[in-house]
Amino acid sequence: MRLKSQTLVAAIAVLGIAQPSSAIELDFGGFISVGGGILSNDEIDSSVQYDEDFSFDEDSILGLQTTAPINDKLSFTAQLVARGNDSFNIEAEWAFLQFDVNDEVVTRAGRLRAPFFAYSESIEVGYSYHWIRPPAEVYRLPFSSIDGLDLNYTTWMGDDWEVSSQVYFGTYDDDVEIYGQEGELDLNTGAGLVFTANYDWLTLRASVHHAEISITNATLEALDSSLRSVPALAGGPFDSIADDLLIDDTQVLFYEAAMMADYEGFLFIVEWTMLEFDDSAIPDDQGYMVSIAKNFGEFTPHLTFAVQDTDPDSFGSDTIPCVSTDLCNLQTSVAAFESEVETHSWIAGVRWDFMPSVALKFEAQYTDNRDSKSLNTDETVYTLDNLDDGMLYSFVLDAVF
Amino acid sequence: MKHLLIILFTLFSSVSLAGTSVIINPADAGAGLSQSDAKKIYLGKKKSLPSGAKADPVDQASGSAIRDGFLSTVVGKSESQYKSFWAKKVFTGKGKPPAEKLDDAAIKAYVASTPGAVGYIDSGSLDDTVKEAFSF
Repeated sequence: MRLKSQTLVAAIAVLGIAQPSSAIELDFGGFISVGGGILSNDEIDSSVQYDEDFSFDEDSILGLQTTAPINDKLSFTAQLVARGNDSFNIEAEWAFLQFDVNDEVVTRAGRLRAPFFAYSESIEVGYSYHWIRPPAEVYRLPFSSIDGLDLNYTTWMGDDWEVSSQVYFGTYDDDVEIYGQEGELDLNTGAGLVFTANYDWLTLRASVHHAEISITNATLEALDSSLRSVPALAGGPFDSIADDLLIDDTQVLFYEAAMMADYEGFLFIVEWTMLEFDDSAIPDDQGYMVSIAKNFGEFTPHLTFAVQDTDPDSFGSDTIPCVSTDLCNLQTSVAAFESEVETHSWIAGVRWDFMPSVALKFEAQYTDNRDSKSLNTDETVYTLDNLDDGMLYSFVLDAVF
Repeated sequence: MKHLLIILFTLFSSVSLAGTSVIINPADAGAGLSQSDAKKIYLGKKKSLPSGAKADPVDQASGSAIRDGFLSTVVGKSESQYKSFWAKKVFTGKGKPPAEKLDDAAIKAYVASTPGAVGYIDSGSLDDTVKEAFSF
């Protein structure tokens, strides 16, 4: 689905071809974010890829969307997105055929945004929320789309509660970067269920997702072949450790619950998530946040606290005897995957709606890396580097058109 | 004294004329439309009128005082909150915002000719081509 074209001009041309040539009336719109940021210290390992030098790429995004109604019940929607942190490569984030069975039942087929989080479906549209980006401690999954179909059922319970449920199935293949190396993600039999209840100012959401995931990754493969090639004389081969570390048809469960209250200009958000990866190099973890915002006319100041806390598997690194440099290195490398990571972030910022459809945002984020260490895979032995605490300052201009 | 009464009367009438009327097509008048229905329709949560007709709300021009008044009183959002709300819906493929019309005359003409249409105009512009559902 990734388009090979490197320039935005091509995207505009692609959408341009779809301009009305018949009686079909197209809706056409887009969103743009131009932002930049700087870290107080390079050793923070912020999940947002800024560094000590001011850069503009990470939060800059351009999206173009068109919807073509085919008839009363059927329509086609496509959204192309180019991201600064992906060299402005163009990807189709949404491309689906929608069938409105009736006012309550809608089904869609094609490329859909995976509804993992409360804000994941509109995560690129900065204008639709108060942050520059939702907290990375919670919004941490390395991919966000699914190729498949969903079924949405929305109805009213009494006069006040609008309740909806969404079920989806699909697959997804993409390049993802983990442990310093780009690799191929192969997601099979992804499925999920999302339940949402809305009462005027209050929204409650709960979801559960399941997938079978394989990731090829050079960092893990190097470790894998080392573990399997240890001779019997030295206690090897360590096949079971290697099997446990591999991400190969690994069962993954993801749970999420959120509450959003938007009352008299006050916004209060709580979101909790839990990721369960069966035995693999990717640890189980939890990510959660609390955010408050208050609207004062053009200004919306906000404050957010977010936590990510991992619970890694034990692979039995202590069963590898440290009797030679190679084996000691191997033990250290495996132990690196058994280390817990805990990150706390405080985000304070303001959104300024200084003109229609345009918002300017400033944020200061303090990241407290607690026990966190980053995996250093530059050497033949994988080690854990200590991380510093520090600040990320960023701004963005968000607009919709 | 008579002049004073006329002046007072004129003042009071202009106060009442400054109100906003939410209007619907005469065909939908029987079932009416409450303020709570209107809020749900303008946020895309209700897709039909109490009459059963498919809802087709229209907005006044962005930035107009009457639109700001309607959004804060009936919808309970500021202009930017309303735009943010709709940005989320539009770019997740979940609907499109009410169409914008130029002025009272354009809205009245649209509502008068479209069953299911909902609009809001200055109460002074009301006539019998449309039905007032409620005013504020």
